[in-house]
Amino acid sequence: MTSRGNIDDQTDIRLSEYAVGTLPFEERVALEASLRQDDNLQKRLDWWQAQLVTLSEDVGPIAPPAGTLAAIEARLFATTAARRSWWDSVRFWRGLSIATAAALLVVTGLLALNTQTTTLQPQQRLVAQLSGSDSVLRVTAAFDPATQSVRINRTAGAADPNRSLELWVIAGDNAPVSLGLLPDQATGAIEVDDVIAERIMSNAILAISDEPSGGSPTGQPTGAVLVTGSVTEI
Amino acid sequence: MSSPQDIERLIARCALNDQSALSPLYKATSAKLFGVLLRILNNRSDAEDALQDVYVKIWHRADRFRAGEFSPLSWMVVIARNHAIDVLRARKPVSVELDEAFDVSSPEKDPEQAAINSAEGARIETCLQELEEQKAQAVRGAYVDGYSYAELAEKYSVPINTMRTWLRRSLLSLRECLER
Repeated sequence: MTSRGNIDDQTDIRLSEYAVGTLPFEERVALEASLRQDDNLQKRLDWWQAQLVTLSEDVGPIAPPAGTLAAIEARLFATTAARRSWWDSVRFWRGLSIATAAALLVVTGLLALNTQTTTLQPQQRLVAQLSGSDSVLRVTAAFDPATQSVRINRTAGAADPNRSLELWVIAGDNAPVSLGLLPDQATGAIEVDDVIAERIMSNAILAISDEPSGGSPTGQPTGAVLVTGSVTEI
Repeated sequence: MSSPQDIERLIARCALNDQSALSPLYKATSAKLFGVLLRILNNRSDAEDALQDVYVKIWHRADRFRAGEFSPLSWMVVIARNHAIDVLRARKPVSVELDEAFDVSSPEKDPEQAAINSAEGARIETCLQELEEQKAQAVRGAYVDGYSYAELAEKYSVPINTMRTWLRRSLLSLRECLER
């Protein structure tokens, strides 16, 4: 009738403590790790949770603040339509070397498998080396979570006359989000808001595109993507 | 008021990446989930943040919903509760040692009451009635209000280890009743 199977009593009680919510933090984290690897354990936990969930019936509904749905939709679907046109464009793929494209596919594939991205601790630093086979442009970008700024070091190449270089972050399946224009000087810093900071910390890829002077008029890359690099922790 | 079938259909559409399904799903279920989150987190702004996180999780896990063990709303409530407890426990991590070799055999029960329950079908409410009132209250408080062992120990003026033993015994009795 139940799914206890060969789960021993001590484990079963731990599962019940988890379901009730009292299991202390460290044990909770350890049990969650086991749950991810053991389907039977998860099934048994489901049983406990299904037994207990009716206790929530006594908790009355409370209207959440307006704007929450919009915030959720922005987190989940930010300009997916705009992304597709760019993602599918021949120019984008031509701009990438085969090696970079392969690396990008591997990275996006891994991201698709692992949708629960980890948030990094503030003291960690992230770096991306941006390069591409069809561009002499070379840029190092270092993100400091403490100051929420990206330090830019352009070691080779520059924007064409009357054109601008624009920096983008691509996190998972989301559309690219602009961090702004690359500074005219070889070195500089770009400050970012919380949303962009979170994306940079989600195993993201940075890319630089060639845009009309002043930046993309559409909010999505319109010119060739010159260089890309994945964000790695140092 | 949306029926469980309506909610299940919306979850299925979310699993298929149908973005237009999220808004009606949210409208049908967010007040319930917000109520659950607010009760446990006891802070509006934390509950708002948690509500966002919970719908992001629901969207990503929609393909894993299987009708059966849970009603669709219950499935969502469980995701919300687990998230809220994760947030709470991470905020103030306390470990609680077990103070004795825990004996998992033979929780005490009243045979007469047990017979009534098994006739009615073992449901959690019925099974809680088999426990002493304080013990049933502790289980309910832990579940609904998200009380930790430390908070429960303070409420019932017992050492924290004793509290844990107490609650574990109650859970064993519940199991015995629920599986009857």
